[in-house]
Amino acid sequence: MARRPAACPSRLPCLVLSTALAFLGAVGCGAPDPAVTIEKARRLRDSGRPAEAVIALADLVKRTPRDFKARYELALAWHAAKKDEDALAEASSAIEIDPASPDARLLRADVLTTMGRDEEALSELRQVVATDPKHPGVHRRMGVIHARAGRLEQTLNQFEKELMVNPKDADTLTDTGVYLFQAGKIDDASARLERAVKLQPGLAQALRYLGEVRIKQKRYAEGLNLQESALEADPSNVQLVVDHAAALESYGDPHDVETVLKAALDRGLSDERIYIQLAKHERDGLRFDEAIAILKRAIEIAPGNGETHFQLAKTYATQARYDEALTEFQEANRLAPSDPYAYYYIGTILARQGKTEDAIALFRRSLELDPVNPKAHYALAKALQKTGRKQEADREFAVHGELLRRLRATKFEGVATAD
Amino acid sequence: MRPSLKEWRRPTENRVPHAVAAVLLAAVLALPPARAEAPAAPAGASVRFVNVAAAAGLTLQNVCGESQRTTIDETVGNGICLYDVDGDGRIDVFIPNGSRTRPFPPGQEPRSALYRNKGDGTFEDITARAGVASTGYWAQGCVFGDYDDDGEVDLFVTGFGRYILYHGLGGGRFKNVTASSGLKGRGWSTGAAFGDYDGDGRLDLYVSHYVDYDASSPPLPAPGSLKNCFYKGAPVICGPGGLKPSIGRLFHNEGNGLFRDVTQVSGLMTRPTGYGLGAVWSDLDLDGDLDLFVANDTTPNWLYRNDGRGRFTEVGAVSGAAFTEEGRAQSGMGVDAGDYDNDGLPDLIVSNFSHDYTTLRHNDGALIFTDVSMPSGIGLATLPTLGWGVGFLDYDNDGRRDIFIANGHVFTNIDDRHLGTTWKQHNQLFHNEGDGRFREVTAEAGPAFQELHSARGAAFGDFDDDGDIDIVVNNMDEAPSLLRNDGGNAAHWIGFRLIGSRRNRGAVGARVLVRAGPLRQMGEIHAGSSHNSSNDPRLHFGLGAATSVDRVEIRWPLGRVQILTALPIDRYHTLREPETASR
Repeated sequence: MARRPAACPSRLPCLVLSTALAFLGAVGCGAPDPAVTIEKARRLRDSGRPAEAVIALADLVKRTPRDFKARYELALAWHAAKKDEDALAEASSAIEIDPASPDARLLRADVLTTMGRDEEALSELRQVVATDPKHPGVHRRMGVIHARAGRLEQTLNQFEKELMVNPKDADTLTDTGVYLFQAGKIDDASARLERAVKLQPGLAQALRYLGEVRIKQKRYAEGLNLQESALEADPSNVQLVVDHAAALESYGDPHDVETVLKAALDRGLSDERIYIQLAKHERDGLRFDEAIAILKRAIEIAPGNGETHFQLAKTYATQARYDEALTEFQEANRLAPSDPYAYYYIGTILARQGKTEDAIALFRRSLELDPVNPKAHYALAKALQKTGRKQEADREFAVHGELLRRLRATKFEGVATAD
Repeated sequence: MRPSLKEWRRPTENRVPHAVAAVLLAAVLALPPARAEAPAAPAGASVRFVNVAAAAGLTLQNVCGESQRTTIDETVGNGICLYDVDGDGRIDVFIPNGSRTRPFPPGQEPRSALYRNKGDGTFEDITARAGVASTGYWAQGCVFGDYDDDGEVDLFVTGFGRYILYHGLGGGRFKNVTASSGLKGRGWSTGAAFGDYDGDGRLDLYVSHYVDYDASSPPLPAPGSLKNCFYKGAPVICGPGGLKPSIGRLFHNEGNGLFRDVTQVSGLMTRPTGYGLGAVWSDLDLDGDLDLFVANDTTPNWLYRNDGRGRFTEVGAVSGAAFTEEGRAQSGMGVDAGDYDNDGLPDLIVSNFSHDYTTLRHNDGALIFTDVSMPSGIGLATLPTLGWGVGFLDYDNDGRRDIFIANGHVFTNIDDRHLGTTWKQHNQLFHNEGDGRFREVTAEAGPAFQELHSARGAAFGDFDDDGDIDIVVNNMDEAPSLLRNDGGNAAHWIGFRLIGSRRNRGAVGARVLVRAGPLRQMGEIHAGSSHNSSNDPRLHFGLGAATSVDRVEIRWPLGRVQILTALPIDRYHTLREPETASR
């Protein structure tokens, strides 16, 4: 938008002047207004085009290197473009220009957090606190960093401080609730999330986790309804779709699973995770051909997703189609070599083919990656037993037994009758 | 598949006289190697099963708690037991019945029932004169066996709060001798099995126990009342997970009408770690003594290896019998041991919960088992069903043991959940294809398999003595089903009723090996298997296309070996244990 010229005494000269200004702007003979550039860059950034925002702002910074706002906005654009080294440099420059600005320090802290440099981020945030202990957002950020480090007390302490600054901050209430939920404090999580939802009824994350809380509390119908509301609030969130479908499969009416997943596909969410969940649903219903067709479609969409090949392999294995299963497990393993389970399943098929030593090597590899997988210990024990290594086998049988006992004592005890 | 010669190459038992062993060795050397293929099988599809229970007079209405079922004691249901109780040569039927906590109006209490086979396709209810009604007792399972070797079969019944031992008086009459038998049991007893585990010639008794509960216990928790009492999000009956398991009991037969609890001294589990249901005695490692396999619900199965001197070692995990191939404990219900691949070694089958599979375990020898459920075809086909009574039977006489499973869910409201499983289910029949695979033939096995029931116990026997195996099934809240086998006897067969000479008169644990051309089969007499049930004690062998039997070898429980040749086929042979080995 062109700047509105100052008031003119008569209409004609004004018209001439404004036409001339517009002409100068069009031919680039004059620098654009920094405010206009910043506004335009924000719009680009918000619409998912941060690289273009960077171009516009870089030019502005070149022209006005000591302009705090320009540097700050450029740092934001770099951060949005996931160029964190550049974002960090630019945020630092902004701080240099205005060391008292909490915004630049918060941004630098965010960038550092993204880069995994949590201690530096915390240090930056402490400086903000020193200047302005009640600055909104700073304690929440500190809480998130502590949460990542698993420091329960500090996390909750910072979240509570943030809520003292802004008791109606639904985002912090949600973060607190999510953290409490993940820490297994279900009732405390419930209280925070309930408040968040009350303050902001359409907050998808709060609805989602309140749903999880309700499921943990065995209030299944309520939990599923909350998940549905979360999905209504954020219909393009694929993870929400998949989680809700999985919850319906376990705690609701499996008929609804297909409805939810197909509706997501109809909304244009053509994500392989949705296909994978749909295939699992078909497989649970023993409709194996349908499951296989869906998984093949998912592979077309995202050929590099190891999970799809893994699920396809499991579907084949359930039908005793071991050759096809082996091919798919091997592909899953190639795509995700750090996944312990493909090694285990390939091992089981090789063991079935009599390639016991190869199977043993695979079971051992699987256990290197996940030492507490009882299945792999059991399979290794059976394979070792087959090769006559009784002592080693007995050790593995013992580990398997112990792991099962622990699992049963914690997670699986009394889950109806089918563990 | 192992060659059947392995059977003859087993280590010589110390009870087998050396001379006999030498004869056997000579016989082994004379045998041609087994062929991989069995004779051409008759078409299993031509066999039809028809439920003739009502017309036959098997009408006892099953009672098992309240029909809406809110506690686990109302879900496990009852078995069926078969034996010729009156010595007329025909297989009779005992049906234990349940009860409920709420009192019945006077005169309407449920009772168990004994039906005498009249030989004309019908049965006569002789419960009252037999003295086995056990009115008011909430029974679960049963097993027949002649524990005192008086030649009259006795009957043991499990249930809530106590056991019942009926001493057979002959002529189909019984007397309750529990009080003087030493069989003291509280709690909830389920599958029971007789077997002479220490080779003293007397039938000992193992009794599975499930949840530690009986009428004197505090009430069981209501659906959804505890965190464990949900299934797929719906409140359901609680347990067994979350409830205290009980301990299975082994009773040694002292020989004077008394049993002694030897659970601890024999090395059996004394910590309550399993919810026991099915149990079967079988010489799984062919070392001449009976091992014990127990199916546990939601907890690892137990396999007790018998050291031959009255001591057991639990080897479930290392043997592969405790877990699936993925090392997972299942919800074991019914059990059977039988040689499905004719390699001379008894294999194991265990029925399980829905969304899990019935587990077929191949006996690899040396007490090692491999879970072959999935490659055999049994696994996939049993995922939607919840299995109980189970057994190996050669329903079409083709010389290969097929599989029957009685199905029914435990949750009466499961139909509303759209989980692909239902309260009432079809029973399932699997035809043994002979290559390690089974084909489900439920849909083509006649009208009895089209019926929907919530079935529990199942027992197998030839009621009409026509040479094919019929099946009787106990159904929740209904009369039982009698699945008459029509057409199974299109192929030839041979059957044996074994009578021990002085001890173990029912020859429980005897093993019979039948050779007919290239076909070799092994059968073992069990007293107690399936779900709360016991089968016709006669051993039945289909002969496929064979028109004669070349050789029959009987390994009597106390070690004598009897070899018979040129036996006529298509009939049952009553064989008495010889004083010495014979040919």
